[in-house]
Amino acid sequence: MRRVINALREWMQLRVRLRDERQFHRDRATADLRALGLSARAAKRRAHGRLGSRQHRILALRELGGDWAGLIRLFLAHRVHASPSFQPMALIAGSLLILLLSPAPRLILESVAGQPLAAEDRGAVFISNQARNLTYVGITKADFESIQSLHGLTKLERYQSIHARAQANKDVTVAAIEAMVRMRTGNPRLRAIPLFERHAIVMGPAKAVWRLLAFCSLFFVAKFRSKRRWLGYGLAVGSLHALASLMTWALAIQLWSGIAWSTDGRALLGFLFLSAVYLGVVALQCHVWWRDLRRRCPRCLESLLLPLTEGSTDCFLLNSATTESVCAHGHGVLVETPWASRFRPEQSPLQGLVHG
Amino acid sequence: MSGSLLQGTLDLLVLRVLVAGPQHGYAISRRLMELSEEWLNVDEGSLYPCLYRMEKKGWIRSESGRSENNRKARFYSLTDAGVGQLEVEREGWQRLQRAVGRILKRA
Repeated sequence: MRRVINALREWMQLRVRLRDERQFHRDRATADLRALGLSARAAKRRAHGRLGSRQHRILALRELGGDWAGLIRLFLAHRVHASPSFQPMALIAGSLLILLLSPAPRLILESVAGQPLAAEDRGAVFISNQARNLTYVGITKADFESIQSLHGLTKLERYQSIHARAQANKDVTVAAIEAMVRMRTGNPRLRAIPLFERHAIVMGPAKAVWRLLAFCSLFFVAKFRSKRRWLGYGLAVGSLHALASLMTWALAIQLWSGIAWSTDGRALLGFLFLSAVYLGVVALQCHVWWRDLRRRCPRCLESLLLPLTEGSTDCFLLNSATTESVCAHGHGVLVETPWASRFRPEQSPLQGLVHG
Repeated sequence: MSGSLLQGTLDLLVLRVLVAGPQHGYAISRRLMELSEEWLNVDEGSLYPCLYRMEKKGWIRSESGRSENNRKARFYSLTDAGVGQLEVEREGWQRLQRAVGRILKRA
């Protein structure tokens, strides 16, 4: 956070300095032009023109590094990306962005939590017309009105504008509700299912992937249990990755199908494609998470720097090459083989000492 | 003939003006206009990027101060590196001038 603030402060100072200097210049030029006999308005316009247009100011800012690209360069110079709080903050920001982009943010939270947020929604029933391809296409106005006074159902309302949802009484099963709805409307295609069953189906594959990863991480916990701070940090970042990933999946499903669940061939192909992309993204997340974690000092969580290669790449058996990195404070050391050090992120060895 | 500045010449001119002592951006701009008898078209929007660039290179330094009318302003002054750079730029300019002169004479 300190690094972000420093970079932002430097960037703001640059912009403020340029603005103040231009303002001073404009005011002085206006005063001089007025002394030559120009009206206040004409003098101001002429002084403004001499300093250049807005486009000119943008170009000047770009040249000085006061634009957005300059801010990114400053973030890199202050090693914001190497800060222990960078990944957690980025993941939290990403999750919030997903909620903002989602057409139904509450549904995303419920899907991730595995149950409705409000206790009264837990017995909610979803009622809709199921098409031949098993897609839920909604309930007609006439059917909706005819089930208004159905025994065993309360709080009947429209759901996602085309379907219906209601609260089932405790003494009535969902199957009984479905039978009553069909009998009352005379429509054999109407289905009534627990509202949350649909969420569970949609979220099932994504959750299975992360359950598997959580199971694998038990070995990780056992292996690194002596490095408690580092381990805690790693698991916290991993959990945030899982949260962001599940939310991304829920959003992707929302955008892809409007949460209409279908098993026809085209929809299945689309779902498989989406699943493959999801698996790729999860693999990438694991790579980023592990690569960053591996190069953090177990004590101060700062990234390890100053790579020093020893040995020879030609003499593999007697004097094999290894690269040793150390944290800026000197307590964390990492020794890597040439193969592992191939994936080391690009960085200047002195950066951490200058800004760290 | 156009009065616009040749690319890269602004650094030389600003360094030369600053030999007289610390000055703020507006004073530098005015001085350039006066010395060229209002002939040189110093693009004022380009002056500040030029000053910042030279400050980054260590040729000039800047500090806050008060202008003649008691307004807060930033004053620029030459550093030792800037004095050396002025000589380099001056020599470069003279070589260019001689080369252009020879071409004009012989062509």
